[in-house]
Amino acid sequence: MSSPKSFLQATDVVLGYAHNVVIKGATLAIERSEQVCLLGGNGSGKSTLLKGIMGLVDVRSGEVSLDGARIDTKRADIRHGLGVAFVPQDRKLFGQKSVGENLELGCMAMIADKVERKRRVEQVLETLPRLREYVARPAGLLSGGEQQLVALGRALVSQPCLLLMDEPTAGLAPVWIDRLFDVMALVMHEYAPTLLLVEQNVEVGLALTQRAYVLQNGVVAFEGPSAGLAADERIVRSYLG
Amino acid sequence: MLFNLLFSGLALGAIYALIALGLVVVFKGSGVINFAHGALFTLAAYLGYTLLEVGLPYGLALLGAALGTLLVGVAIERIAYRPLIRNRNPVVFKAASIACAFIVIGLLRALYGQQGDFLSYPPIVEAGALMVGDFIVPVQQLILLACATVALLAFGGFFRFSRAGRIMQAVAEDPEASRIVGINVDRVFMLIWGAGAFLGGVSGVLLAPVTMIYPDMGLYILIKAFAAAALGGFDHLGGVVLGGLILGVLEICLGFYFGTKYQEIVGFAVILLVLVFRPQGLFGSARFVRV
Amino acid sequence: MSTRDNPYLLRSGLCVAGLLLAAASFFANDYQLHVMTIIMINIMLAVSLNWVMGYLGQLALANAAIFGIGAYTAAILMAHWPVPFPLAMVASAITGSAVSALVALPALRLKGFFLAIATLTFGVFAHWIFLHGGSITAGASGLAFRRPDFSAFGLEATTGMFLISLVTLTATLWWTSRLVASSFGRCALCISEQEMIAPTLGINVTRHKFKVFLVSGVIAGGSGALFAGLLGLVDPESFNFGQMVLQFMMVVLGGFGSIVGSIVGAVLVTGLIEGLRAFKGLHEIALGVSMLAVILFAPRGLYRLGSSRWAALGEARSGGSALRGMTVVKAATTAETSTRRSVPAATEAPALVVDSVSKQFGGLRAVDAVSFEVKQGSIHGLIGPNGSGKSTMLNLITRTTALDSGRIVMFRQDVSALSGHRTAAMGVGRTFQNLQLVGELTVLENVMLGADSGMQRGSDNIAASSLSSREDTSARIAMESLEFVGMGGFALSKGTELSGGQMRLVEIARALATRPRLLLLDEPAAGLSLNRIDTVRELILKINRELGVTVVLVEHVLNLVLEVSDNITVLSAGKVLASGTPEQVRNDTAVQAAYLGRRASRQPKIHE
Repeated sequence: MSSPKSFLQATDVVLGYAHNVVIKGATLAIERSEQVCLLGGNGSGKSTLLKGIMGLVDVRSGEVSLDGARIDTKRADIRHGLGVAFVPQDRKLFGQKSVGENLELGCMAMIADKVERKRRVEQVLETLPRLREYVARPAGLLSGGEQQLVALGRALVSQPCLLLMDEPTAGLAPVWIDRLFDVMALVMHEYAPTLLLVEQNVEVGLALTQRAYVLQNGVVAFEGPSAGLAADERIVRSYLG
Repeated sequence: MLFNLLFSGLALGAIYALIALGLVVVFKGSGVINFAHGALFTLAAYLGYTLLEVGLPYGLALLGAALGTLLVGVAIERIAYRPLIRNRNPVVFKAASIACAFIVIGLLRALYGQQGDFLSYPPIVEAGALMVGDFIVPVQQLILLACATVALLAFGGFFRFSRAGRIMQAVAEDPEASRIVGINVDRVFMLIWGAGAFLGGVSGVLLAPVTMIYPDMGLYILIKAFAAAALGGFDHLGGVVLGGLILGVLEICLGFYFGTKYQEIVGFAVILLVLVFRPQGLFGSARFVRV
Repeated sequence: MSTRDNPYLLRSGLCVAGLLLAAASFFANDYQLHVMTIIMINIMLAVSLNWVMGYLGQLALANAAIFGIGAYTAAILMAHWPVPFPLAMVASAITGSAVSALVALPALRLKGFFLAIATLTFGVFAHWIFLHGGSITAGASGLAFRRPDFSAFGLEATTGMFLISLVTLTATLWWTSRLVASSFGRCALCISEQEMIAPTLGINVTRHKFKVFLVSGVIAGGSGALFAGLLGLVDPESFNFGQMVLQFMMVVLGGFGSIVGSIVGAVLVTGLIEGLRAFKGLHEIALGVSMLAVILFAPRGLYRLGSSRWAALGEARSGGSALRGMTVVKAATTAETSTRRSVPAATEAPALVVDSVSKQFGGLRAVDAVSFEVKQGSIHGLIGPNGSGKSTMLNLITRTTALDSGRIVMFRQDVSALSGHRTAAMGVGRTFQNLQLVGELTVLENVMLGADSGMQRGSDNIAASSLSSREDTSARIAMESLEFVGMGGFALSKGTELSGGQMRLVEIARALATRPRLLLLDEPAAGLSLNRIDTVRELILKINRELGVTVVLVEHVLNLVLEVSDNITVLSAGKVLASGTPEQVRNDTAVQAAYLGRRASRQPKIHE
């Protein structure tokens, strides 16, 4: 066996769509319970990389492993069963179903026992009390910020060991950015999951994490501790050229 | 008289509702129209015929035929749907399902052809009638209506309240979101197709005693299913059931007043009128219909 | 260059085959002649269906009904009046095309399988009419009449029909291959694969769809007359749903959009039916299995990823125009190329004025009262973070999307209310962010789509010139465009064989071939390597400096935009955030904040 791998290890990953190779060889290493941010301008490929780790985009070459076992060959739903939860940028809620149903669906496939499912949903509602208000409302009718909370809750219901979040603050009104920020800080504090957070908003991303990678043109341009990067001129250059 | 017309219409309509439901469950769930649905209906009718010949009681024959049809439906899913999912071209799947329909119908014609072009079922029960209040109700029709209603309700219950049903609904609404929450979408597709085929099968064995069965009957049934679904709205299960009932009543009434040859075109007229004036039907959503 | 691409070879082959068959008619017996005539009719039906399904990509399944209507028209005419057969055939062709145009109406409004259902239903309805048409159609037993008499030529009835069908078939195939290899066919394929961008290439989509349906209807209706004449009897069962499915199968088996494929499909299907007639149900099984096999396994068959959907069994299609293009260009390169535009003198009128334009999608204001001006002959950058409305803005300019409010003025003309293809006719070319080229056309033919459009509004007196000289000019212009962007060597490749970056360049060539005055580029550098981005940068400068084209550039790769633009407008959340020279924009703190995100104002608050 090779040297001890990190909890989440992506090595020389190449992935993309039919005519478009988006990630051209990226390497990440994330330890258990670490919170790491993926930054980069438009077209840097950060969202695609996250989707590749979840299994929604095929990995063309390279390896992704979770806790020592390879996952890049496994289907997305199997990865979910292994503890990977994904909060997509467009939330991808079941718009016609109620918030409560959405939350329950977060663990419907993995848990057959109705009582246990209800218990988990209740637990998440304790953490995100704001959701109680609209437990019965169809998810599609909520505002962007509210939907983001539901998506996060749905991910937490599966009690994941790896939480992937794709630009949670994108398109949100400033008051919701603050709210979401607070909620996420709370979740990090209480659940301490391993977190890989993709963010367009540099400030928010760095404030919530300990370490960050900056992607540019499909490869990792540089990385470092979040606190230090906040003032780094290289970031402005990588975004604005 | 009106009562009898309504009753017959509802009985017929309930069966149309079942068939259309099977079609729409597959459409909602996997996004494609199974053009072989009519052939599955025909298959069930013939399977039921054989099981009855062998001596099974009607109820068991119904179940057996529906299960057999379920299996064939799943087979079609694996042969003609699964391999083609990645292909963006919509024509491809229609062509594949038509090909499957042809194979099924050809097989039926080859296997049963010697026995004649048209076969008839033994009656389910002794022809008779009940008196309900002031009205005469033919027993056979009553049984039809009862069975169809039970099937519809059972399916509705399963779909809405059981875990499998709720997972199917999730996949029907958004397969990618379902993947994210750990649902094995491929396996659910199989279930969806099986369910659709089962519904089609049940309706096949229910309708068979009332008419003569022949290998090409599937086409006309398919058109009725389309009509019911178009009327109700292709992505609204409840609407489709209502559409079927309305279609049945319309057919019986118009057939009575104008002659049986006009019964057939009720279905065509409904489809054409709906698609021209209100393509999304009564309850469907318009976004997927218009260019 | 393989022989099958050459249309000249196809046509000579056709003549030879035709003559051979004609000669053979004297040796064959009645039954054989009958079957061969049926095959020829089926080929024409397959070609007719192919026009609508294969080339235009519409799932219109009313062909059996149109065939039937044509047949009944001829039968009724010949049964009740002494109408000579050729006249009856013309009448059938006319009714066929009229019904086909009627079917085209729902095709304009309904999507995919709803269109299929509507047209199938129409077909079943037609069958019902044939069945219950009383004394006019003579119902189920069919309408019989005296078959056309060829004794004046010393021929028997069947032989006579065979020869007429042969002539008609040859004419049909010739006509179809000419149409396909011309702008008509290219436009149809463009509509089929990339309907949204067709107007930007000057294509009037509605009118073109109608034209294709008319062509299809003429062929199907005429075939109906031939069928009637052959049998001396028309009955409803010849035009039922099963017939429609058989036609569908011929096209699927043989290959969409392929003339040779239509022939192969028709022969295969007819052969199977005739051969297996004795065994109940066997021909259906055989047809079903073959169709399934073709779908699942035919390597370049229906089962193709992306937008193409063509079968492998032979394409006698318009590779010829590309071939012609090459030979013409080889001759032309020795001559001087005259089509370089001179740089226009600096004028006062801006190329483009966007005035308070807004667009709302549901609850989202994608573009909110945006105004800016683009000077003629300049390069204008349009940038902004994700979701700022840049692409929507381009769509509004080319009228791919309709405005909610505001005005757009191009070269002093208000285009706010014009339709897409008319805006294109004003001299606007554009590329798109995600779309690919028309997969079934070669690279050259893709660019010829643009050249055709440019020629339409050009001063060249095209209306007077012949089809082949128009084709040559179009190919020449297209080739020049390709050379200009550096993709000349790929002229005969298929669109799908190129890499993303190469396709981008071809799209630019296609836009250039329309001879635009204003060129809109939508993220040309997205996903490209650094080398490629340099190539694109050089190309943009070349287009602007050498051809004098005004360029509006939407891009994410900011160094590219900052380097080439004369002026930049920055959008954020649908509004104009800043505008000015590249330096001003780069150093604008509001712009920096928009891209990097607002500050989190305080420390996180943690609940007890």
